[in-house]
Amino acid sequence: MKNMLGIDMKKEEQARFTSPKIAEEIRKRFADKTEIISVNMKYKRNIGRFVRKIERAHNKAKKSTLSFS
Amino acid sequence: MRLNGLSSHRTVFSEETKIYSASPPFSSFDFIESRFNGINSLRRCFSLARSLGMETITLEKISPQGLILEENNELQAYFPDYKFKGALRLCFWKKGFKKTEELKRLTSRDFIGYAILKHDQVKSKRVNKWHVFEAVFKKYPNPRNFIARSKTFKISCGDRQFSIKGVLYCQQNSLNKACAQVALRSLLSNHLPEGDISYKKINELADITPESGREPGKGMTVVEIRRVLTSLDIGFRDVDYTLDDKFRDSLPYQKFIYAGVESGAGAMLGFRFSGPEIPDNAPPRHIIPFFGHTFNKDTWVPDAEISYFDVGGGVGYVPSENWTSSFIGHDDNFGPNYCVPRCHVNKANVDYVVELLNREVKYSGVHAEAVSLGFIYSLVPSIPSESKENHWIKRLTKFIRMKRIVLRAVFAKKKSYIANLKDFSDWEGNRESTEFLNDLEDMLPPYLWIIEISLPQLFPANERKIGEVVLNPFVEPNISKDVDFDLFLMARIPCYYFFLDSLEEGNPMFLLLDSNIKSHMPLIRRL
Repeated sequence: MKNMLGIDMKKEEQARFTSPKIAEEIRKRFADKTEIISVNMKYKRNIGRFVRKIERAHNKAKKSTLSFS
Repeated sequence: MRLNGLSSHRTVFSEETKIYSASPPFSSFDFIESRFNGINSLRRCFSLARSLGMETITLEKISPQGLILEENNELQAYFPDYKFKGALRLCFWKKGFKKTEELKRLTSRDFIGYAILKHDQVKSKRVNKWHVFEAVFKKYPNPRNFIARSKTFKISCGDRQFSIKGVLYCQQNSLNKACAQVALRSLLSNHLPEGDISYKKINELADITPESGREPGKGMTVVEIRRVLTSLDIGFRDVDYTLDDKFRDSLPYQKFIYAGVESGAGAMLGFRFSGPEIPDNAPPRHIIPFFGHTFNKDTWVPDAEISYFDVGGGVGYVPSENWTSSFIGHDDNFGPNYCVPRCHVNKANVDYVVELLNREVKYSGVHAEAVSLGFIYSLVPSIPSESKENHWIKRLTKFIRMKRIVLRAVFAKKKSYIANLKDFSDWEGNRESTEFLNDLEDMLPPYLWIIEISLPQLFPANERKIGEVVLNPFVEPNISKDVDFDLFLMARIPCYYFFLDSLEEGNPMFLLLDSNIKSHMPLIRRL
């Protein structure tokens, strides 16, 4: 079954839900209550570095030699 | 093996049900010492039962069925002299009764918990002992003890069947299972559609088989744990702190445990024992599962500097985990449902943490919180100046400037999110438009990462929030980008909703939609 955004509600379709698609639909329905603003994304490098650190740690753990008994 | 097969050791009929009154002079100590050689984990089971109002205990001898039978076959394959010496099912009851006929008037509400004990013998290994094959106990009724996801287990007693909700506890036997296998089974029983997993299956997925030359009772490596999770298609994020000591401070283990237990997926902590008798070159390591936490709104920590989490370069926030006093988990050596104080295990002794992710989820709750931070710190200062007169936007702006906002990452059904907005009004009684919320519900994926935004004092005392960032958990993050707009679905603060409209040469344009909600709302409750 497809939803308002034309996306099938199957598991594999879940990644297709995006904010621009929602925004488009919201604009159609509630045009008089919306406006567009430009946003300057702050601290993006710090946050980008942090999430890369999580992934780096996760990837490093592939080489772990720890064992638990 | 199908679900019935996996669980038949719980529902197998027993010829005889013995009944013991737990009233004085009955002594749990005597009972455990005389019959089970004083197993520590069973003492804990009896303590839990006492705390939950135990009046009666039933004891039934059960034949090997289900997972017990499968374990016996696995043990036989490893140890030809293996002997199954028996299994017993103990059920703990809140009502006093003396005859089996009286079981008829009991309901599952009278049922506190159960423990299945198993006696294994392997002469060549000098093993001849009882262990708690599994146990499930209700959580304390205290609402401050929070378990995001527990499972209902069906148990037979006499000719009746009862159900109990809890998280499976399992103990190692040092033969076909060690701490890692039992920790995995505890958490996997909550994840898998089959509702449980056998040790044989866990060992096979880890490539530990009789032919491999590896004895499963000697434990599992991180590589093997990862192999099991990957084979079952369960996402996870883990850190081996021995590979980079700096991660102990920049990626604290508590963040991963909290994210795992808040999302209901669970987490495991691997740590080193320390003490004068422990050799430095080969310290024994233990791993335990966590699935819940306690909440203390008066905790002192969030007001101290330690409470602030810096993602780097002074950019940070106050994580909601600061109001967690303890993580709730099992320690297979000592028993079920323990509260482990959040900072009790010294970070220097923690070697490994793994946060499990819910099905199909592509990134961690720790990741989600960090991503949301960028959106909150950028969106709020960009709103039209006239809205900045709203008191709650003023306060939010002030706390953003101080980088002291409180964030709580919740993995929840979109139904829970929409219900949260539909069912409650803000502090002044304003309600969101139902028409808009019905439309919004249709535009969101079935599950969401919801990162709730609150302020110190408002969060712990009132359990309320002033907005949230909503991310799509099913999108594979692109970590080469500093800002991954594909994860973002929407954000809400008093007066406004934000949706990403377009990206013009990398500059984001957001669609701002008026909201009827002008102040704070209750925190989300999962459905």
